[in-house]
Amino acid sequence: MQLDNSTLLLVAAILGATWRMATPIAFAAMGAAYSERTGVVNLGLEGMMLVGAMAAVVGSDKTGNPYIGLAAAFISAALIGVLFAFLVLKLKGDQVVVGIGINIMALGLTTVLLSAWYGNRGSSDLVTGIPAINLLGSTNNEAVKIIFSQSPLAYLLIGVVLLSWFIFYKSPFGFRLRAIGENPAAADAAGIRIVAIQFLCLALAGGLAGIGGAYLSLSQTSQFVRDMIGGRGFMGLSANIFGGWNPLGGFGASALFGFFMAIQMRLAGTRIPSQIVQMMPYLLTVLALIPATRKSRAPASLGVPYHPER
Amino acid sequence: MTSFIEMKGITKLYPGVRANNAIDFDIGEGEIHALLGENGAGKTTLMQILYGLVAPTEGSISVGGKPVEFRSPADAIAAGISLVQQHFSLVGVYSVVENVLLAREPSRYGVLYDRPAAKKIVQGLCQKYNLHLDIDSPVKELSVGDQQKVELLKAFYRGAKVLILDEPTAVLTPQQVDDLYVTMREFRESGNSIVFITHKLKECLTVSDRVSVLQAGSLVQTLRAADTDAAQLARMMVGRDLAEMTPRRAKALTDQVLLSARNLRVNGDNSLEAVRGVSLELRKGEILGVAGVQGNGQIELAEALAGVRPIVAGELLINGKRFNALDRKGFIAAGVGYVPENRHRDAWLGEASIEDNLILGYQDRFTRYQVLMKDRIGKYARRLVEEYDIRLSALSAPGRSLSGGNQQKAVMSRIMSQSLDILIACQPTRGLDISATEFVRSKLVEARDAGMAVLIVSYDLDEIKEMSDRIAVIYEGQIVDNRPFSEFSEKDIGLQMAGASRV
Repeated sequence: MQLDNSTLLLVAAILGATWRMATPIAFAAMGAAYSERTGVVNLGLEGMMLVGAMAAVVGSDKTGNPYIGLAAAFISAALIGVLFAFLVLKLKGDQVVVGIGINIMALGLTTVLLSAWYGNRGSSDLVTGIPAINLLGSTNNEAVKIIFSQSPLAYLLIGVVLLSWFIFYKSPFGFRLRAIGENPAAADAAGIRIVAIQFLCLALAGGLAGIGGAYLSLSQTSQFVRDMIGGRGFMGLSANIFGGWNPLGGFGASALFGFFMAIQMRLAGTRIPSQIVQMMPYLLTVLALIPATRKSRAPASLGVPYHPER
Repeated sequence: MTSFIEMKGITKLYPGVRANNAIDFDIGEGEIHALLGENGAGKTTLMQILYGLVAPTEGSISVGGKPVEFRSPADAIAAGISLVQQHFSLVGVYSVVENVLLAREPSRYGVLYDRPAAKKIVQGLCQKYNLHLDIDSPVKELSVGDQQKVELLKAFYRGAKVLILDEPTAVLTPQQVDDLYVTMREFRESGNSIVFITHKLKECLTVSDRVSVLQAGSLVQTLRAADTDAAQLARMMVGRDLAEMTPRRAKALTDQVLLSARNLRVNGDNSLEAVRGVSLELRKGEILGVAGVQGNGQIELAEALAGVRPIVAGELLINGKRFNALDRKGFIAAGVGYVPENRHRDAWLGEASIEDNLILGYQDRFTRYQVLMKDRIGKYARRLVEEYDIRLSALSAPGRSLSGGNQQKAVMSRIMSQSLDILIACQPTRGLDISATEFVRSKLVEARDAGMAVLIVSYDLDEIKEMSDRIAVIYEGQIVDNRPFSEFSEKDIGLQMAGASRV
């Protein structure tokens, strides 16, 4: 029984880590879903996460309340989302170029502000973070405790995923939103205010990415570190694609990413060469998801700019 | 008759083009008003302005006597105006129900899409207007005719009082056109109005009460359909008298087969079989017209015959030699010319110079030691430009600087000026106005008289009838009939295009 119990705890630890690893990626994946379902490829999510991560730390630092930091993260990243929307939809910039530009700008901006405000080009001071809570605090089961010892933001994620799924597939608004990504001209002719919805979705995408960034800086490190997103925005983009542009699928793909990252952490320090270990999450994820992408289909007008003549 | 909608002094400027020039246009209550004009005359622009899709540079619109400003289609729809565009505005993966209700979905508590109610609404509409459709299937799986019905349902659902139809008959069989007329008249009987955009004279005289003719962006005149005739309208449309188009058949059909296909099977872009066992022969000195409703495999057939689409099964002989590989170069060497349906996309390079575009595909014929002979190319290009009356700024200007119609002419000139035995032409006059159409047709006839074997694919039955020495009717990837022109009646072709069995 003793052996069984330790195995159980190991599994629980891996599952808990999976959730933690998946959370920022899944927030980005939700953001990607809102962007791409309205036809806009949003490579700027990485940068929006970075801005969110920094705003969260600054907000928490100035007020001492990490939840004000969280709000700051959502708002500032949403504003970057609006900037992206303005450049792409109003000034008709190329989606890919503007997205990459946003990432470069975010990296430069946060680095400059970091040295201006904290006198350090590498990391900020430590601030009040958002610690993990145990939703099932009353339980005595150790394994359950380990799994459900999560940041409130990780629980928030589940709500966001379910709500997004409901919006996309069960609400009239979702029907219009997806119609834009399929055929913006048709949506336009049907009288849908496509540009307004696109702006809203891109702002929301930015905000969600910002929360993902805040999760990293407030729940995992309690400080901002230069370039701390480390590609999670891009992983969120791929999770969204692997998940068939469906919030549930995007969450599942993020969980798979997270699972392999959790395993990777377990295997670090063993005799397996570290290069192989580091490669594993990516390799395994790609292999695991190849069958999933076969039947998934992108929104028909994804990445095709549509600019009404008025 | 009182006017329901009045458009006054509508002008729309695009860079370098005056698409609409101070046009006055009104729509009465309970009338079908035809808007007639050549391509590029400004019909579609005018209606896009009325529908709020395009903002006018100048001019005013009033509905029911009150001035309005439509900033988007939503405003126009609210005012009771609906537009069925030439290229349908449908979401392919959505079902008929979802498309009809898009942007006006029934919901519970405002947030939950109410599917049972949605279905009931669309069923009711179908019954009321006597339209038969599988309302649960995705619209991309419907025929073009059925997709048009979905567009009509959308308009009816929105409570349209004015329905704008942009060239609605272009994609229909003659029988479907008759059905459409019935639906249009029913709609009018309940006091509603229709603007019917067309460039076909016969149609607009058949179904409309009044006709407004546009030419080069300006209104020529609005008159009662009963007070005019085809000749007068044609004159107004083109701005000059037009020689009556008379069919010019081949003097005698020969037996010399240049191209022969046996049991060809070809897949479409979606990997489904589009051509399902077609056998046909193309003879020297004849024009074979392939009649059929769009999407019945005719384009895939033409592409296979021209060597740009792989043949899955069957045999293709050109001058007795077997061709099965996807080998466009071999086809060119064998003297097969090909005019694709979408010239702008498949036969024209926007960034390359016009001169280069004019030898595209035949560049090997203009080289010495693998170097292009610029002098010869220039001379050749100037000859083509003059012969085909291609309007351009300079031969060195980029291809995209040519207007759509001139691109069409340039592509035709490039292909027709090479020594060819066989010409495969898809929709050869698509997008051309009356004068350019007449020119291209006379070039095709000239080529035929010079001994070329010509295959024309067209959705326009009038074109098929005017041009063809033989007609092959294609339906769902099979040739259902293939006879000399003289043995067909119009009714036969129409029925066969719609899938009726061999007459």
